[in-house]
Amino acid sequence: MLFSEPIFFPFFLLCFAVRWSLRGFGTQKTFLWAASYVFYGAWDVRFLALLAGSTVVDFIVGKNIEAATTVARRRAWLVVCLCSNLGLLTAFKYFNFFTSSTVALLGAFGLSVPAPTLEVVLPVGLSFFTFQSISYVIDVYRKNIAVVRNFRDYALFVAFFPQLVAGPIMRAVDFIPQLAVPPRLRDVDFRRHLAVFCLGYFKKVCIADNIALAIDPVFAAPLKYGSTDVLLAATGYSVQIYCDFSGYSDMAIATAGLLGFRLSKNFDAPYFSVNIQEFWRRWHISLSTWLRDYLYISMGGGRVSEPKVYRNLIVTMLLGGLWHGANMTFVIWGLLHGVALAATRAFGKTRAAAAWARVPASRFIGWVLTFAWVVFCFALFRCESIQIFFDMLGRIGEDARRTGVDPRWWLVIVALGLAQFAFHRYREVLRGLTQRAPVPLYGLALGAAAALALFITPLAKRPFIYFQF
Amino acid sequence: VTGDLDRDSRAWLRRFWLELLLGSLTFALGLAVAAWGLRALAERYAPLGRDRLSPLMRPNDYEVVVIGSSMTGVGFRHEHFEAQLHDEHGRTLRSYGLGMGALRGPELDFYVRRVLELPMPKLRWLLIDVTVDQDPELEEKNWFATREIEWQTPRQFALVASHVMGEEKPLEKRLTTLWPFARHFGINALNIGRGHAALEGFDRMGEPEPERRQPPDWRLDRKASKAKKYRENVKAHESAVRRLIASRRRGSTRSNALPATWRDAAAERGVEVAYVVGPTTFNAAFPAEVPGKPDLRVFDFNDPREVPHLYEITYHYDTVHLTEPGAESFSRDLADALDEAMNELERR
Repeated sequence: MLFSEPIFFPFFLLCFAVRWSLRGFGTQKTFLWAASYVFYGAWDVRFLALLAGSTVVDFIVGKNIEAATTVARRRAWLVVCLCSNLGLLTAFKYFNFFTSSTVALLGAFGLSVPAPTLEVVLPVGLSFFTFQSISYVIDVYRKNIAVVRNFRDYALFVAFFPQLVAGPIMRAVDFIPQLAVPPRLRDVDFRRHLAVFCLGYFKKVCIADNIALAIDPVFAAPLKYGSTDVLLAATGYSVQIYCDFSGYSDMAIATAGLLGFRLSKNFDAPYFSVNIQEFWRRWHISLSTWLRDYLYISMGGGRVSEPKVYRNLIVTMLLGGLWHGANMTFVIWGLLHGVALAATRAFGKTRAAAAWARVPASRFIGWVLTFAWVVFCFALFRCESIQIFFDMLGRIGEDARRTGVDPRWWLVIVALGLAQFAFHRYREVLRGLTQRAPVPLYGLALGAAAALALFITPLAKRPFIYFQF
Repeated sequence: VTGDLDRDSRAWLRRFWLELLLGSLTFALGLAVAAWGLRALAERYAPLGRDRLSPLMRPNDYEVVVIGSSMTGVGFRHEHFEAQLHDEHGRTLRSYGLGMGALRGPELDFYVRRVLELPMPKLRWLLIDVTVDQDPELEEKNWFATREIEWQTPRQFALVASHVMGEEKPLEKRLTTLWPFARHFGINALNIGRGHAALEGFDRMGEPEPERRQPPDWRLDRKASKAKKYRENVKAHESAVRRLIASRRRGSTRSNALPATWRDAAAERGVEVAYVVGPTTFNAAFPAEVPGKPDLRVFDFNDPREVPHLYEITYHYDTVHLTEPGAESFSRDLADALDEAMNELERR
């Protein structure tokens, strides 16, 4: 069940109606937990056992960490959590990648061994809910939060359907306190959430899916296309992935909001960043802060010697890349971003950085360089293999006049960029307008916007990009 | 204090329900009005069924349109049809064969009415192939295909709903059958995805319509080995022909009230209609007599006693479709039948 699928709307309307009709916050939470399992089970009922099993294990581990009297025991339970969650990830997501990579490495040394493979389907959202569970257990271990004593509350935290399959990755410290105080219907900002949901739908279905139709053939066979097409496809993919994922996040935040819960912001106009550090503060915020808090800081973060900080940055981003999937393209994508972060940090420590900041166009140049780097890396991220990426690079400068992709997409991309800029700059004005508009006008405008969105919706159903992660 | 809060909550809740109702109504209104406007835009640049009908939009081209299932697609050959009319009957008419795989029932109704709406001042005859039954059908493999969405206008959906819900099956089964049609109708009514077609139509504006004599999209796997296999099984063919003679045209009449309405629609435009029942080796469903419409003009080729040459085994590719020689013979017979009908009309 996707947020953009017709079946989701009756499902959500039912959830909304029942959730606000039930008396007693406990009953409401139980209902939302059950509804979340129905939502997840709609993909494959077998995945529910995995979700439930992971929930039970981490709930028990959290309680045992709190009850443990010695540091060694606490650490032992933490290891149990890490082993179970990372074990799940390895078994379902990385086993074949690791074995085939090892076999390839041995093959390079002349050793031929058969590669054992597992025929398993990757459960939707596995990376998201395991990271969420790990963050909870680490927070309990670090004594950042109190252990959750109510299993239902914990299970709802893990399975809450608006964020279950593609985030934002919630922290217990943000969500669990919301389960203590019953929200009131009158506190729900309907206008805002409806507008955000429509915006998310528009980004996902009308922009991302349409761009995908235009650029997918280029990524499938780049040798058939010219330089302009390849550049357009790379830029288009950056727009696609942003609209796809931030559109999903918008819909998740709005859906949760209509049910009375608050999810954290996941994107903050990342393509307006003027350096790569800023980009990672504004792109997939819930993952980047997760990596920072639980990986980068665990390795010493920025409180170690400068070379080790660079190592920490690169390793963190490399693992962040691996989180996205079992493919060398993701690993190298993470590595490239890690190197860029380290280089940005190293540059910031030099005297040239201060001089550079005084250059009048430094922010603009920084933006151009950052955007170009992000586009370059996302092109690699999108390619099925490194060979295809090299094929794409090889096409740059070749057959510039050949246009297999409609060049008007450039205009669309520029227009979208300007729209995003205006939206970002005047969002408070827009928010004020939606709040003050009379109900009939708001309803009419939303209806007309929905009709327009449907008009340009491609008929082919496309899952959200981040579901595969 | 609590009482005040309760009163306040009740007042708030009343206001909430009122705003929700008002918001929902205006949302529906905004959606409907905008969808209507966008539909007009899409119809201007990419009318429904355009891909199949665009060759007919060339002005002053065709006097005869033959429309129907793959039986028409494979069996009707305009060159033989026109040559027979010209050489044997002295009539110079241009024809177009609009054959589409499994075109039947409400979808056929959609295309018949669309053809009649086209600006074709020379159109005089519409030959409608009703060989297969007219029950609406939607296979799962075709769900959400553009073709299956395009014909689901309110009239067509009403026809489907009336047919499906009138069947003697458990309600659940009927609703399950109806559900994909309803989804297609929803997609059509809300213009989902039509912006793409409209944009393509906008890009193609001013370009002349392609000159084609048949739509290119029907595909039959016309393998020589398959035809040979059919030809080798003489016993099965002869047995099918015998069965056909023994029990010809006993198909369900329930769905055949629909074809009878096309004659009246065509008459309003001054177009004559003839129903074509093709030389298949199974019983055609179109009845010899449609209740209340005794004077329908039927070109009946489904009787091996009347047209034995069309039942030569070498003319048959399978139980429905003809081989090339079969198609030539059938097209010439169809031309003869049309000439006879024209003569009769002229005598009146």
